[in-house]
Amino acid sequence: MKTKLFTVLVVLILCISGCDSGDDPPFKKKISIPYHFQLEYNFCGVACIQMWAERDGQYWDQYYIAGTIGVSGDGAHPTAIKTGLDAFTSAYAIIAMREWCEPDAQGDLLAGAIRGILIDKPSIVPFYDLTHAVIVRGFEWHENADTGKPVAEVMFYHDPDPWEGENQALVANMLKDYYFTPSGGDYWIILPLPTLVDAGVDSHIQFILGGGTYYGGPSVYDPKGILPPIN
Amino acid sequence: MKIVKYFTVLILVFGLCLPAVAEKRVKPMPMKEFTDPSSPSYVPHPYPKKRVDIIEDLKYAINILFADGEENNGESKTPEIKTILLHLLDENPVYKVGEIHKVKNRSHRLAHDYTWLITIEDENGQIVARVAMTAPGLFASAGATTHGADLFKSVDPSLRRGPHFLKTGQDVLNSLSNSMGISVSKNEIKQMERVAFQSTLGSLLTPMWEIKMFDGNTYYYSVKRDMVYEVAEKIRWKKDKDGRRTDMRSLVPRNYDFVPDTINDEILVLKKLNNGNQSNN
Repeated sequence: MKTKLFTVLVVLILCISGCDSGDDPPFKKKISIPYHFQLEYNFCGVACIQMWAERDGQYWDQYYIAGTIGVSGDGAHPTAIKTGLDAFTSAYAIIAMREWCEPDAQGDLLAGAIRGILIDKPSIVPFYDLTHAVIVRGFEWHENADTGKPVAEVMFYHDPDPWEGENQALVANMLKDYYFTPSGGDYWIILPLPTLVDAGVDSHIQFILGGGTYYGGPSVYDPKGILPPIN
Repeated sequence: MKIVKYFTVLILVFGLCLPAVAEKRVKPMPMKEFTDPSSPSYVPHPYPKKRVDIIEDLKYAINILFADGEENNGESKTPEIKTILLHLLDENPVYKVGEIHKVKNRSHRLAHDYTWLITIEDENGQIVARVAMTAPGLFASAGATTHGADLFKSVDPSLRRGPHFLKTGQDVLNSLSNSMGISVSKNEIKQMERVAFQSTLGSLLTPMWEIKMFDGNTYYYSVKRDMVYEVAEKIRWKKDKDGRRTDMRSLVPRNYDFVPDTINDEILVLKKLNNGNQSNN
């Protein structure tokens, strides 16, 4: 009798633990995020903050958010988006950055975003050389057999640009090689918690100690004295 | 003797030029990767050209990537992209593949100079989703189309989407004529094609139109912004000795729109010829 009860309990626990994140690779998980398209051409970052805030249970007007964080004609600077997330959502946001030439720079950052999804938190990913931003709501991924690092296969996201729209899916290779690529600068993602990129930070430091060139973050690399905003 | 000389010069010229051209784009994967069923990049019809082959490659990709059950996206009225795609596998699908367009790719990050843009329609012919497929037939990205959804009801009517998500060549011609204040006829146009940059102005899923005129001028039309552009300037966009490009926004004058053309190492600075629709990126 006890054996039967134990077996049922084990099966139940296995079922519950396998519900969301998947117990067989590729792992998968998506979280619900209400969609809002950007009301102005330079409000993509603002709309991402609005969507994230509403997921956390608060509704904020895009113009109010924009007025609070400061949005230039070209869009919101990454640091402004981080400030907005700290102010309007439950995130303790961090701009995780990697050099364009670091080994698996994009993979490190996406691993952080996957870890965020595992604790039900979105991330904000820049597109097109930092000129646009989208909010990530899920992944399909597998784990690196040696390191255990999650490796993205498909990313699910909302694009605040109404022409692209909600419920988008993107194959990870395309994300890394095409959408994500800053041709000139760094790779970065805004993550919900600093702890999600611990492993990545280590590899970043190793890269620099190993002689990798450090160009500085998006707010530092600014050859003409113009901070690069995104929209 | 002369022939030998010419031949030698030709060989030298080709020898110098070809590697330079080849470096422009990412190297394509070997054909074996697409034909070997055990390869993750296997496709039933590598480099599909026919509609039926493109659709078969798409269905194969949907099976591989998404075939683990439909999902209901709680609070959204737009169907989950996965749900739409999985319907294509049904015997009597709710959605069907609509028009398929070839889109020229202006980024060196993709190995080939074109991608396929596949539209998915509902029973009324409304485009409900779009899929971008690479030249070899691999799934790239997909997005549900939000136009016509209730979310636009709160927006000024002039900003709502019409049923024609991807405008026809004639629509573009009309916009060009209106912007220039003169009637532009088809006879004046040398070439019109859809192009994708790494840009919100014209992407793989919502490409721009490039209109080359016989008089040498080139115009661009962004469907998203309903904006006609002429090229105000082309900025050289070379890499430095470490292979890094300058942040393009620091090179372009403020308040100008621009698109990166990494094939030609140029940033096209675009001058607006009409008022367009600034509220949509």
